Amino acid sequence: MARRQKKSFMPALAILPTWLTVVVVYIGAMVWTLNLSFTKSKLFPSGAYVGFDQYERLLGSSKWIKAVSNLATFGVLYVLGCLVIGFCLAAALDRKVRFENAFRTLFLYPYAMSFVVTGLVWQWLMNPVLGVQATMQGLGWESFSFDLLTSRDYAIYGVVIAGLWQGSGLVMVMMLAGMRGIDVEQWRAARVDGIPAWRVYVSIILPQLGPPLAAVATLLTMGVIKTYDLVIAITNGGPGTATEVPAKFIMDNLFQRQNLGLATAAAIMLLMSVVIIVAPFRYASYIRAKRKAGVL
Amino acid sequence: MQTAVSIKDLKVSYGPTVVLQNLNLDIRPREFLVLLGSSGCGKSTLLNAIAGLNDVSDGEIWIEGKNVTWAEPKDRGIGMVFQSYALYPRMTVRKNLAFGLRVAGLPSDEVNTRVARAADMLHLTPLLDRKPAELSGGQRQRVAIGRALVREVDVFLFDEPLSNLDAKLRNELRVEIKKLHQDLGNTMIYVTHDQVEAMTLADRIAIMKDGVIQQLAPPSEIYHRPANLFVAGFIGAPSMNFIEGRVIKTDAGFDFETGDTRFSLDGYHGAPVEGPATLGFRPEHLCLEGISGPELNGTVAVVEPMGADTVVWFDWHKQNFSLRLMGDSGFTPGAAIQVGIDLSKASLFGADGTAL
Repeated sequence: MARRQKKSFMPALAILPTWLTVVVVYIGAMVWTLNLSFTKSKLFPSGAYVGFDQYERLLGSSKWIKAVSNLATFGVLYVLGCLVIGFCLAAALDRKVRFENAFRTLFLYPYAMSFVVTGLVWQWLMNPVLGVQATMQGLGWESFSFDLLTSRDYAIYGVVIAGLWQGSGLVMVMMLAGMRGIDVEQWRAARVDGIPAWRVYVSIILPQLGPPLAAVATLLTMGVIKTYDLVIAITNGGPGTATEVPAKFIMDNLFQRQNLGLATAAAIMLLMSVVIIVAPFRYASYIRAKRKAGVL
Repeated sequence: MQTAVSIKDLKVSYGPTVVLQNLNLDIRPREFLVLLGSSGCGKSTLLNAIAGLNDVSDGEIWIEGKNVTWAEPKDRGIGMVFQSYALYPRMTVRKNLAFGLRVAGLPSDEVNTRVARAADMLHLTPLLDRKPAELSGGQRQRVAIGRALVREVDVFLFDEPLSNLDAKLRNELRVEIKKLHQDLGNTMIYVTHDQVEAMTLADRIAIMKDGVIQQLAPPSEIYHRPANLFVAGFIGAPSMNFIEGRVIKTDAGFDFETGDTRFSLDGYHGAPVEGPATLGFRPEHLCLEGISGPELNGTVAVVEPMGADTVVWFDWHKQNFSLRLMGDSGFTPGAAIQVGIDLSKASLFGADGTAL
């Protein structure tokens, strides 16, 4: 009996620091944030509760609405775009091309960079005065235009392009690893069946890549929600509020506008939206696991 | 003569490694040909070359009177069954069978008829809406066979289709494949390393070693008249017994001499030649009674009862020999044993290993 207690004591001790971090930092901070969001805190935390006033203010703020809709646009295009481009790149490399390792490194390289660097690089590239547009016009293509970032309507797509450049490589590596795990005899069978390569990728390979696809989609989505540095580096939210995103809205209100109550309310809203998106998936996989175990 | 598949001077190499060279093989229509050999002998390479999945360095491949050396696999009129089944895992059995036909643009009535017919033939009808993961190994392999079947081609290629199955299923499916061949009457080329499969299924067996066909003959001929030492040793379990010695010409005919023993080769079917030689005889071609030919007086070492028959291992002149007896033997280890070799069924190999 004594031995058994000792046995369970050591793992508990080992896990204690992590556990403390989770309880104090994550859950503690979450509770504190939630608490603040119901106060009228400005520069400093205040104890004056105002109910849902901050939330009403938030939903009435056109800047917040714009930030959320930008996030939706960016998120959908970024995640889907990364998946499609990454899958295509992986399929291209999977064709046993020469210099595969070099290409793989090249495509994955942007992912190793900070979003700030990506943002700066693309800010220069898309700058009408010194980027791609200037180069092409200098070469004689006078009508060439590539100035997404200066347009209120299109600036967000400029951010998406930069994001795709950074994120596609990750998808490619994960998909390529998945493709390499597929039995080569399926390829032979498909060749005997006379199925064209693109059809094999779409109808046979892609359905088998479910797990890596889900993993990479989760990673990308998490990246979307915390999008901040990319926007800061590339447009700083502008022109106007054209590329405003929730994370930037929160940071601005926290540290510049001295609006602690509103910022925490926004943070809670962001958290709630993540929960709403993630919960059904978690529940589905929980049910599936149970069903597999034969409980349900 | 009309051939179903004809291989002319085939050469296949991977970079500097030549796997097959100057290989010629004619396969008759409706023949069941088995390519047999241990791993790395080139049998799968040959099958893949016929299928068009491997590039050919030199030579020609003809299928049903057409030169298909450079044709795509789908245009060769072949169906293929793979060792790992190679089913499309996310598709139901029905879709697995139909997918190739759909992509080829066949009208859906035709696709459905063919799928139904193949499913009926292979007893897959109740399983049509299942995914491969929900099938047993034997069922999966039947689906793989079905996928070749729906193509309605003349030539079927099997690449070790039974080696991933357990022994019992393997026996069952082996019988099914044989029945399928009898019902369909297609040409089938079957690669295996399992000699039992080869012996039971084949009309003719091509035994391969190092990319060269050692012997191409019906199973009984391969078994009873092996063309060389390799074939003799490869086929049969327990394998053939060998005695090394030399053939000596005498007034009456030929004698075989090994160590201090010498006996006449009277009754041997072939044409012995003087010089070093190896005498081979199968375990069941030794007799305990009515000995007329050479005699071996040895000591029983091990007795292996197998039910239907018993293998008695005995030592003679410090060599180990096996003897197969029907039923139980009654021998115990250490007992003296006297056996005679039935020379009419024995094989004699010359110094270069070919049969004399």
